[in-house]
Amino acid sequence: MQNVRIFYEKTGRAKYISHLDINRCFQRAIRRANLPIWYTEGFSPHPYITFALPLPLGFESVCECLDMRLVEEWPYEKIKEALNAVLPEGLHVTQAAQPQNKPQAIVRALYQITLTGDSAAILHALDSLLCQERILVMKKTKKGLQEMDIKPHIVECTYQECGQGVQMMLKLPAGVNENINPSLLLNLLKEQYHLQQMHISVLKLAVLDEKGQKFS
Amino acid sequence: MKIPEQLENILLSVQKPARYTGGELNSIVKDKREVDLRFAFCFPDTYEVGMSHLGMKILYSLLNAQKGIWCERVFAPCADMEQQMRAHHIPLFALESMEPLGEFDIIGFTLQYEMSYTNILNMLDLGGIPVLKQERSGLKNLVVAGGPCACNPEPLVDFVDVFFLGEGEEMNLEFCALYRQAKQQGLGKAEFLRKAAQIEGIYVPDLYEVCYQEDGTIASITAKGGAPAKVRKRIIKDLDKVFFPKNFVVPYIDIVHDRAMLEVMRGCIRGCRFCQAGFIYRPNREKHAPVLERDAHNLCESTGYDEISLTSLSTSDFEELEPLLDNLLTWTQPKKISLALPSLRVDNFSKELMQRIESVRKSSLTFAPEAGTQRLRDAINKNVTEDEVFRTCKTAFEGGYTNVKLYFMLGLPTETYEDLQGMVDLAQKIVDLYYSLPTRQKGKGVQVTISVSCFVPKPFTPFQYEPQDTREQLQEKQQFLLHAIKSKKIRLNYHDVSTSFLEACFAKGDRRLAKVLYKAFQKGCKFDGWDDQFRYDLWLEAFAECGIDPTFYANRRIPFGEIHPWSHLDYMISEKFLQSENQKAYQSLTTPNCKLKCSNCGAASEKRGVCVAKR
Repeated sequence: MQNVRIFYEKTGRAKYISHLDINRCFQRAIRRANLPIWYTEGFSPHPYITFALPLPLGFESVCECLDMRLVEEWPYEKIKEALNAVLPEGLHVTQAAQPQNKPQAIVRALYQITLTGDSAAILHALDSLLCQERILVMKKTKKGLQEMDIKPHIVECTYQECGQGVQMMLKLPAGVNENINPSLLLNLLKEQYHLQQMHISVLKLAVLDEKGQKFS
Repeated sequence: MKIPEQLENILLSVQKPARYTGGELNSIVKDKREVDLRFAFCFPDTYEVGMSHLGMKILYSLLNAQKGIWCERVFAPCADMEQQMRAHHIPLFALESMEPLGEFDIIGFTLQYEMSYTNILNMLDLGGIPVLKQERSGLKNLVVAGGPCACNPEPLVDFVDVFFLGEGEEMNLEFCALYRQAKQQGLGKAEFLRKAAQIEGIYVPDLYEVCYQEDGTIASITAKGGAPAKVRKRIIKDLDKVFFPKNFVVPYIDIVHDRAMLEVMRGCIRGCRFCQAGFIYRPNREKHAPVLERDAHNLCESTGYDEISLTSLSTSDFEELEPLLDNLLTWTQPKKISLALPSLRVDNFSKELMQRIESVRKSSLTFAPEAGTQRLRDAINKNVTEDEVFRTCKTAFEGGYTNVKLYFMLGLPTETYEDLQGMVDLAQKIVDLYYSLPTRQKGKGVQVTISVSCFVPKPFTPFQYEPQDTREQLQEKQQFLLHAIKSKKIRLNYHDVSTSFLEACFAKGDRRLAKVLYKAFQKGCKFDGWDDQFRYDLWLEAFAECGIDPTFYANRRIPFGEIHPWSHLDYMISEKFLQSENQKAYQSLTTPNCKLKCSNCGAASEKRGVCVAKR
């Protein structure tokens, strides 16, 4: 049995494919590529793949990650090429490799966020929002909606004017234990400062471990 | 701003945005400068429904296989998306080029069910195209339609320029060739339509004049401009040679039928008297197993699907079914691909067959006895006996199945309350049968679901003359069933009768219904087949404002000899045969299936398929 970790990009209009649909999409791609994948046993056998973290609908990413098992050994480069030959537009494998760490090792993610609109107003709003003592958002938890101060959770946040808006680099907790969706901050920004016309696009740049190293 | 950029602002605020983005595997993008005919294939329902339709997949691939033609897909946006599109002035667009409907030469709709008609009007409107055909003067944006409901397309004649009768593969190519020629020569719309009417199967409604009598019935239908007096439907003569796609567009979202589909045959040998498909697709023609196996292989390789469905009107009647399944299983089993046979009959469902289809995954069992007593089953020519139903259920139970779904029809001609009680009794006997079997699994109960739809009389069937039960009669019958079921093991499913009533009106409707349809569309009717969006009140208003009585179409018995709105359309089935079948129904006399004996319906004139097979 060969364990394989696939890193892939999800860009362009593929960002509108939901996480559940991506799962099915990869199962079919794996079948088209004729990868000797291990099937789950039982009532309804299906190709066994697991995703490290779900990507919210509408986000692009260059660091998505899934694990699978092959019943026959294949060179990693061949796996990558076989998948890229059959994947639809917007999905592209960047690396296939032996997993180094468990998915639980992911603790943070880095996002590149482009806010398009009136850059002066957006910059002002960001300055004002981020120097608040507390940044209160409503977060969905297992117990329902709960108010939460996300300010202490922001690991890193830089931004600057660029083109027709503002580009922002945002590092937030991500992973099985604690996960904060950047939309919480961005939606608050939009509402609190009446930036209804502002367009938000989010690109997930990297998933990181405890030491700030790229997850592998 | 181009449409994809505009969509960026709205897609995250609608349900399932991947319905509207395109970009799926195997979708075909061409350079528009290199084609001279752009064809928008429109399905007047949601993406999930339309993408499940095999006919669309065939014609999409067929047209795109032609150099110079680019065929794209268009679906009806759901209410949330439509609202956003209208608010942001985004016209209805095709999923390949993401360009508006107005860019297309031919806009083709498939007519799968009557209750999708308002969506056709709404889609044209959303695409910025005048809904009424008289407001479209040019050759561009020609609106065409085909599919089963084209056998009586009269309620749509104010909106659609051309109808395609019968099977589309050859006719579409001939029509497109003529269109390209006309475009090159700069022909006007009227001139082109007159020429198109010469292609067999092409019906141009403008070239037919309908006169009415004082009592509302039709006095005459007259062809003009050199159009044929009767338009004969097209059939494919040799199904083994007809075009079949090597791949399907693979959707991202979960659609209704998300699997590889093979069409094992067209037409049906049975001749159930209520079933329109059983008559309008005659003669029954089969594909051969090696051809199907090749198609199955191509589709699985190109899509990655893990399920193949063998579709037809009655797959267990397919001659080479067992050898085909055996051959398929040699490679589908190792690849963990399951086989599904959606249309099985109770009279020839064997244990061997069941084992084959469940060799990878077990699916649920559904049968359609259609009526509750033998007398009524004979009257509708559903040649299935109660013993066969029990034998099948026994096989299924012994094979580990515990859920059985039975389809019935309510309001069939000659139906009495005895027949209704018969449905419940049949279900109860199936429950009893389950508990009488020593082999049943301990601790597992049985669930028998009775799913009851309302009978809708349809053109080109022996019951085309029949009135539909009134809404009140149908509701009473539903209530009767509800109270007659005493067991918790039996579940009853039924639908609102109003939808079936309107379906009956439009199935047998004439040209005068076009204004009712237009009015209903203006009032906001759409997605009428969806219970949550159906507005019966608005439909009644539309009928009233047009001064048209819907019961004239749904609830009136049509005497033999009356001219039907579809009398100028020739589906190869003779009126004499339909009348004799109708009379036999009243005597509970059955008609043997086409494989046993020819019943002289008229389709044998084509000398194809079962009509010329050895009996």
